[in-house]
Amino acid sequence: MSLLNFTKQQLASALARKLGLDFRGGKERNAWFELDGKRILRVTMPKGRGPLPPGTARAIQDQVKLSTHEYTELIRCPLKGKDYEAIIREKMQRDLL
Amino acid sequence: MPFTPLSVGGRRTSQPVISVKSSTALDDLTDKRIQSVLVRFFVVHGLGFGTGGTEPAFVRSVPIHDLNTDALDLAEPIQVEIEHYAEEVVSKVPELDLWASEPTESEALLSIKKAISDLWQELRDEPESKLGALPRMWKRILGKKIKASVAA
Repeated sequence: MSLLNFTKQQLASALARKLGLDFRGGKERNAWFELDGKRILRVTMPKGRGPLPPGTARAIQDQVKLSTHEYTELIRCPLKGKDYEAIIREKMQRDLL
Repeated sequence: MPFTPLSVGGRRTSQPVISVKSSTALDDLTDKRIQSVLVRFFVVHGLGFGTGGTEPAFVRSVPIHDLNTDALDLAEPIQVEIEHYAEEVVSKVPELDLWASEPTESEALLSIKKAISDLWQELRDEPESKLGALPRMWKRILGKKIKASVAA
């Protein structure tokens, strides 16, 4: 499944459920992913419904710091919130975040 | 209109894979269907607007010198990457993990200016102890790029 096949609703739902992101306000909605009381990443969601355009999908993938495979898994379901946290912690240990 | 089937792999196929006109030049090509296919081919492959493509048709980088607000001023330009897709134009500041998507380049530039401004507002008063490594870096970068606040 390519990045093109997801909708904005699917992505927003996955980010809310698994990363605990709360999007509200503004045209582009921003939310912080926090770990251990610190702001680690900032994710922007486009408003509205419908298919996720490829450029937007790629930009959000960059923000959540996942490979295309991991990003797809996050939205489709196999990648759980704690899996995501483990990926981010590993990147933090490598001084990438 | 006569067409001659090409042979494939040295064997003549019963179902022609590609057909070309047998003895006429390209400027004689009047078949509207073939022209339509050729135009579509160049649009899809030449401009990169493939229906299933996830890559931008083209990318360029432009400096911005202003954040479109009286409240903030830039000490130095910020480089913005512009990616043109078939259905959107995405502006990005990769170093700040910022992006915006709009139908046109000028709107995408305006949106990314607002995104930069919003990020600075969120980080400016946030204690560093509450920020991870990336947001701390964004704050440092913006602290250098944004010169001063002036009265609106």
